[in-house]
Amino acid sequence: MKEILLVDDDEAICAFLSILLGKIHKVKVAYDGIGAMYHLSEGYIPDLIITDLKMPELSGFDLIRNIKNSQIYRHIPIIVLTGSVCTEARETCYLLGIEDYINKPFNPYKLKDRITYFLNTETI
Amino acid sequence: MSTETVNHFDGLADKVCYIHISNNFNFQLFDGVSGYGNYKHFNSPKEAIEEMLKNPLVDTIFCDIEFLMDFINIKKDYNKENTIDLVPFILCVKDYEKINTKEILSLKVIDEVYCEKTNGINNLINRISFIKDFKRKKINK
Repeated sequence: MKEILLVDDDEAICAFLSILLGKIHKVKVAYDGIGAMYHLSEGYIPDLIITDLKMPELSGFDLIRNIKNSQIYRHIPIIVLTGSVCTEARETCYLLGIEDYINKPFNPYKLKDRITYFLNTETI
Repeated sequence: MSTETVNHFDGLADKVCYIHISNNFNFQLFDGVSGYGNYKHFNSPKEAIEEMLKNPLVDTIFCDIEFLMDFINIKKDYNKENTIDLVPFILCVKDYEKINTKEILSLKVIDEVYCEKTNGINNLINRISFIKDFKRKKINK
């Protein structure tokens, strides 16, 4: 069972994705970037991170920057799942080293396909 | 273990300090951090901790993996007010592939790993700055 860290301040999205992905994977939720860093600092290393960009406390950009600057965490694939459609945000995220960028509203099947690809699993 | 302390100040006494616990003065690390602050090298974790407690400018501890367990053991005697826990702790390794990351993180001491072969100092300094703020928030939570 692979571990996914889901970071989004929208509780409805978190609940939906926890149900969608929780059948196959172990999903841990953080409601902002600080919450995500808190999990990581406690020794939790997920196989994949799905994160929003606009969040209180610590934005998705800062979270991504920290993870990709870290020797410990930089290998973790990151999928950005955001309502931001601006090209600049997308480019910034790719420059920071993310693996994929998906806009909200999103197609759950497409998201599952991308997760399968990055986790290299066939079962989802 | 020798308790000899080797200080390498460049005259910028008001600058933050990066303490390195290691058997050897590390020129690459010294060179990397010297644009941001002073590099101070100790070959004894005890002396490094004592320096940290008396010097508020100490910003970060770099510690070679050989000294990790010594540091953890000695820290217990000095960390009554969590002062040491507020300072970012960076583990220095020669080969990142050879360490067990999960095992090392489970010690709950290490904030980041520095490997000469793969880490860039600029990225590391940015990360240290974040870790410092984060640790304060976490302890005050």
